[in-house]
Amino acid sequence: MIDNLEKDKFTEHHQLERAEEIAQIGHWEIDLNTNKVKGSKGALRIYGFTKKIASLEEIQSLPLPEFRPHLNNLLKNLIERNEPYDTIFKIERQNDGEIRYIHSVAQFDQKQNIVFGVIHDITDKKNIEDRVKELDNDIRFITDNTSDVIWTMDLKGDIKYVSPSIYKLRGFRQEEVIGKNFREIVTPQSEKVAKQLLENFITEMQSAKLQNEPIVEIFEQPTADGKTIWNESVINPIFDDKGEFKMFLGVSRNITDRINAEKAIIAREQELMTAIEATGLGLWDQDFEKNIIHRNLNWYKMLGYKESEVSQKMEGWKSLIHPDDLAKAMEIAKTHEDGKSEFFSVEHRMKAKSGEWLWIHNWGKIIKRDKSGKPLRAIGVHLNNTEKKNAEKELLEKTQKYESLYQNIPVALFRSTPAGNIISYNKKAVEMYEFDSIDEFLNQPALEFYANSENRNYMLEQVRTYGELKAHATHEKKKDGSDIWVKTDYKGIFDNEGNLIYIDCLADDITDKKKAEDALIESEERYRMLVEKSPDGIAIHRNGKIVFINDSAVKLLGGIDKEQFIYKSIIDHVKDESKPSITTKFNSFLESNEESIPIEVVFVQLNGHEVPVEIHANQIEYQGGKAIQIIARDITDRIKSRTVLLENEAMYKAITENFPKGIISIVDRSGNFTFIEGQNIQEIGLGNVEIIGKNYKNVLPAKIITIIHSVSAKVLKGHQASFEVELNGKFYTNSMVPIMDTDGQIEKIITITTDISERKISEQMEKEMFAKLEGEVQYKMNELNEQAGRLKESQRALTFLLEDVNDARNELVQANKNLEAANNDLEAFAYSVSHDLRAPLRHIDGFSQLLENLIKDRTPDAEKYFKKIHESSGRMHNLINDLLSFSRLGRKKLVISNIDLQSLINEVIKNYEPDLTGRNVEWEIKELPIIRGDLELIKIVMDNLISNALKFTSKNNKTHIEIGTSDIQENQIGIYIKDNGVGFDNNYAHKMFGVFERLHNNQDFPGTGIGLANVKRIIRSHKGTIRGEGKLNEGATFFITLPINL
Amino acid sequence: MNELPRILLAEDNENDVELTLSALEEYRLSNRVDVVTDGVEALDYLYRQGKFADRPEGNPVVVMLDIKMPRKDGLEVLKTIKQDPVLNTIPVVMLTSSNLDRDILESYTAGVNAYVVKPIDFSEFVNAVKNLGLFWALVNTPPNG
Repeated sequence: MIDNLEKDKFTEHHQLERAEEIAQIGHWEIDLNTNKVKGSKGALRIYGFTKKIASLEEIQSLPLPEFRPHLNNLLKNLIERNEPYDTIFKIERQNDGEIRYIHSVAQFDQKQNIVFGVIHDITDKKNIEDRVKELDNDIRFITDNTSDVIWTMDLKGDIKYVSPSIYKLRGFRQEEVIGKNFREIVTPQSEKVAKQLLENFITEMQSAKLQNEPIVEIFEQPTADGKTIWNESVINPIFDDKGEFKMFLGVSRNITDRINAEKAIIAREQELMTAIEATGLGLWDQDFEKNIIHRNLNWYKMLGYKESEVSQKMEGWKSLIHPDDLAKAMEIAKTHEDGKSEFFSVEHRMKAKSGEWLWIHNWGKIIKRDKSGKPLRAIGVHLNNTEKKNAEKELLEKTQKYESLYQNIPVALFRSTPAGNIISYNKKAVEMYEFDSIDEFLNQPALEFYANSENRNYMLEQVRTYGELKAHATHEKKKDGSDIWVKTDYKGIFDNEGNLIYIDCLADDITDKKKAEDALIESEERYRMLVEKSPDGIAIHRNGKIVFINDSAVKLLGGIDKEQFIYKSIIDHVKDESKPSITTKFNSFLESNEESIPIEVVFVQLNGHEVPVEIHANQIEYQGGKAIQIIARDITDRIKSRTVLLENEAMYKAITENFPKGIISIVDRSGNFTFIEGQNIQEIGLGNVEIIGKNYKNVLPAKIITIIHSVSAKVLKGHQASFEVELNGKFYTNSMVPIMDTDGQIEKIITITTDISERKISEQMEKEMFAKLEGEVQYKMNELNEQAGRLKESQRALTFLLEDVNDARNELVQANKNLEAANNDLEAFAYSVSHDLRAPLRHIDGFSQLLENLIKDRTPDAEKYFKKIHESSGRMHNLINDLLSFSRLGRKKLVISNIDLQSLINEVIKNYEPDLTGRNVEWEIKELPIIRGDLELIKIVMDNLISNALKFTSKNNKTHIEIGTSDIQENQIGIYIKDNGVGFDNNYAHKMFGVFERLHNNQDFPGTGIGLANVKRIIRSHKGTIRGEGKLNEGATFFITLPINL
Repeated sequence: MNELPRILLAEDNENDVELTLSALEEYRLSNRVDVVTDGVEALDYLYRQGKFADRPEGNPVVVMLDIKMPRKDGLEVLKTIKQDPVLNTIPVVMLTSSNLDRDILESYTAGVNAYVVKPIDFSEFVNAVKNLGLFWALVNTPPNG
């Protein structure tokens, strides 16, 4: 029999090992008692251990360093808070150093103090996901750079112009789109957006709120082949010089792939989340003789069925497998049944409850055959491989899509070597440069595409330095030598040593765009309109004559008509004294292309009035020759404000000169005076000397120089300083303030010197007054001292009293020590109770029972006595346990927190519910507060009081228990628990809370009499109070108060 | 047939010894139970020294230890066993009256394999001892040596 048992155990173990192997799963445990680590074969294989795991540290060294703090944290939370974890991390595998992704799930068995868990190597799945991400990036590189479409439309949304590149974008020809309304060429969803956009624009324009900013919007548009694309349009409103709306100028770009890629990423993220949530492995076990297949819960969960919904026979599996996969699966199973393979492994689809087909990796092995080799028992594993399959399919699709994109994308793509040989290219590249055949293109040296060969050297230099060159517009040549403008993006491919090996180039024909831009920007008319309407006067001077003049300039020179000035010299209008210098300046502009500096001159208008102006002049190209553009601005107002400034300065000087009783002076960084004014200059002996420009060290009295020396360090650091000085019998206070320039450097220091002699004199008088007062105070003090002498005597009497108190305190300390000793004795007693008193009890119970077994013929009395002995020992055991818990409770340290009394009470009541069947109990629970206390202990209190209430109402037909708050005093919360049970005589109320005190007999209401003693002890340790009120047969109420701030 | 491995019971109270033996007998466990009455004797037995110098070779299949015993208490015996490279594979069960936290904690820290508080009720006591005997003497597979 033992033989069979061991065999089964072995098989199960083996079975698990093989299951783990196929699923790349392993399990492990850490025994926290011994810190020993055990791992299954599967776990050892995943971690790459070739022998047993020696220590916890050995495992902890495997995860890559960036994961370790997180994992340590998870383990800590698992052990300390019993929070199971489920995480993914990377390891460096022990035997080959390969980086692997591990999915790890762990739990904690608190009872045995063992941490255990399962690990799963998910590297293959991860790798596929990473590859999909890489491909997405490649696709984006291409789609972000496809050609743009340029178009214009009017306020109604009618398309007035569209560039031919619309064909590339949507497959329509230019003429098919022009004249249509913008709203007609987008999908219904985008039509709403377009309508809203136009309406908003018109409303804003009418209310003059319009911000002259481009509008960016995304539209969905149908293409010629019946699909839709997403494009991102940047729409610029264009206004003419009168501020009238002229047209919208739009540039659209195909962003369909970007949007699709974003959607795909979101979808994949969701898949990944689901995968992480469920990594269940289905197990099956087939009994051939009985034709029964046992399956675990995961097996059903994987497919979404209940156990009752799938037949336990072979047919159950056959009914779910995809018909296309059945024959192959059966064949592989047959090969194994015939003993031609070690095990069978097949991937097939199965129909889930949801109707979905799941890809299942089905692995199995026959583990028992009869003598003739006929199979008896097989076991196997189902692994849901759908995600992996789908990912593989997606990868294939992406790869194909990328290939097809590469060939069909409407931009030229090619790869060249730094030496200039083209080694790969797409169809568009051949078309764009108008080559006749693909071979012809391959033989073309890359250099010959460039209109200017320097451009290629520039590109190579940029790519070598920065790895890429983006949005580079170059002028190139087609095969026949005609011009083509191309926007190119280059990306360098480097070998491991950082040498450039290839350059990938993406080229977009922007010739159309370039032409359109040129037309807009180079329009001379636009320039002229701008110049005409400028508020500044603008004139163009050529060969010493005005050849162009705008309206503002005519006005500035006091004229009415441009004709009054054309072909005359502007110099005629410059005031006589400046004429020579202006003539020289204009000539120098003509010769060199020097930067214009503003010049202030005075213009004389036609009627003789003078106007101050500021002129900017610079050389320009005008109608094929050199000319000077003169921009003149009226600065009458500026000159006016400048005059005001000068007046202010004069006023400021007048104030400082008349500064009462003091001096204001300014020195620069090196201490030279730049300014000094004030009425008191004479008094300090500086009246007869010229001070401005001189250093203070050479001018000021020595006494002041010394003081300045001592405070200057502070002032030069940017702080204010002040000091007082006496000079020639007068007192001055000086405040020094540093003044910073715009760079934060100290530029100058302002010193304000104030004569405070008068204040000083009054201070002196005050001092004399004080001296007089002091005499009087002294007299009073003497009187007080006498009184103090008398006080001292009373103090001495007090000291004696204090000594008495001290003695009393010492006695108290001694008493405390005695109490502590008594407590220790109690602890020893409790230990002795727990051990020594229990043993004899156990013996009484044990031997009486052995005796009972020995006596075959027992009289009813003998039976009764045996029963009493048994009951008594049981009761004494309960008393001992309660006594022990009572003594322990007293020593427990309080752990105070907020307690939601409402939910605590509900929890306690819920625990009693199973005992209350057959009883009619009505609970009346009022609104209860949050209280402060030790949760564990307060729960004991509530449990005792509620259990008492239920116990003493057990003889009622109808039980009513009420819990609520009562008479809340300052800083106290009152709680009461009221029942309608047998109650008690109030005369004995005080006895209820004593140890082993009971008010009812044991037959009617069993109990040890420790509950309320415990309650009282807990409430007392919370600095609260408890009392009970009762009346025989009319119920009892218990009142508790607890402090709010604990 | 070889003699079945023995069970070692260390218990100073003769009443407890008698009750434990009658409980094991109830299950008709055929392993022989050797009884020692204090910690020193228990270690003499395990090391085959003193009055046990002549006992046949072989470790007991399980050691059941009372905590409170004269000369050397059960916790000291437990620590000696678990720190000895030869003896530390023997399963040790504390069979005691004490349910004090500190005794339980100390036993587990020292590496005890099970901790059983002797039930007061005799029939429960019989069950507990029976299960201990069944598990450690029959079901459990100790390492070789």
